[in-house]
Amino acid sequence: MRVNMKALSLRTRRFAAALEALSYLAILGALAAGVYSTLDPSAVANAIAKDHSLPDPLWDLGLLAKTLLALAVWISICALVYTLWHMARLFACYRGDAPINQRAAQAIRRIGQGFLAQAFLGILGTTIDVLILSTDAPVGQRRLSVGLNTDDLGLLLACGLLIMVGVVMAQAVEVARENQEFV
Amino acid sequence: MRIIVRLDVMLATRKMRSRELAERVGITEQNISLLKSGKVKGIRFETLAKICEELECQPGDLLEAAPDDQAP
Repeated sequence: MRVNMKALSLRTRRFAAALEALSYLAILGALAAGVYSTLDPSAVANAIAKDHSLPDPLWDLGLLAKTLLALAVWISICALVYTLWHMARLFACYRGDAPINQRAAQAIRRIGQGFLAQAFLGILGTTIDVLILSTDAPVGQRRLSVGLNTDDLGLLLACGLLIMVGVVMAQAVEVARENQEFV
Repeated sequence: MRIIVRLDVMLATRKMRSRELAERVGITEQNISLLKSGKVKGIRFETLAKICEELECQPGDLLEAAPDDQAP
């Protein structure tokens, strides 16, 4: 449902087009990173080990740990790609001649949901990643890590804000549409 | 109950074209057509006042409330 309003300035629309292209590039990059981490799970394991002060070099990972690690990586990538896809859709709306519409409002809501998923995955990921790596750890080196920092809380708040903006914008579009039906 | 718009009658009485009224009132000719056919959800008081001023009439001359089963 579109509302007739002046299109954004040419400069803004070009900027939106550039951001749209960047979003698609980021999607390709994320997918490439996923493929790489699937082909070489030890690279991911070493990166996680470094972040969580695990022994360097890390112990050898079995097939189960590698599979679970790849799965965890792909779940994160799916959340990221979901967010980037809707960002691209939003920028496409702003690139067009009707930037304020239900599609844009829906895209903002979905971006907020995507970031929310990434925030939760970030909070849970610490625990899950270390747990996966610990499955093949030698006796005495198994560990469980739980972490929550202010960045995570900040991201959760930002996600909530985006979702609310999307909901309110949808209402505003509806009001504007109704208003248009008055002469 | 529905509202019947008698704008076409008033335009004919005042011998004014829709385009001229649209220009004087400051709305599009398309909106005037929609108003004449009753396909709008409502009319702003500001628009109604301007139409009445240009057509030298009262709102009651333009708008009529009629039961739903009555033909326009």
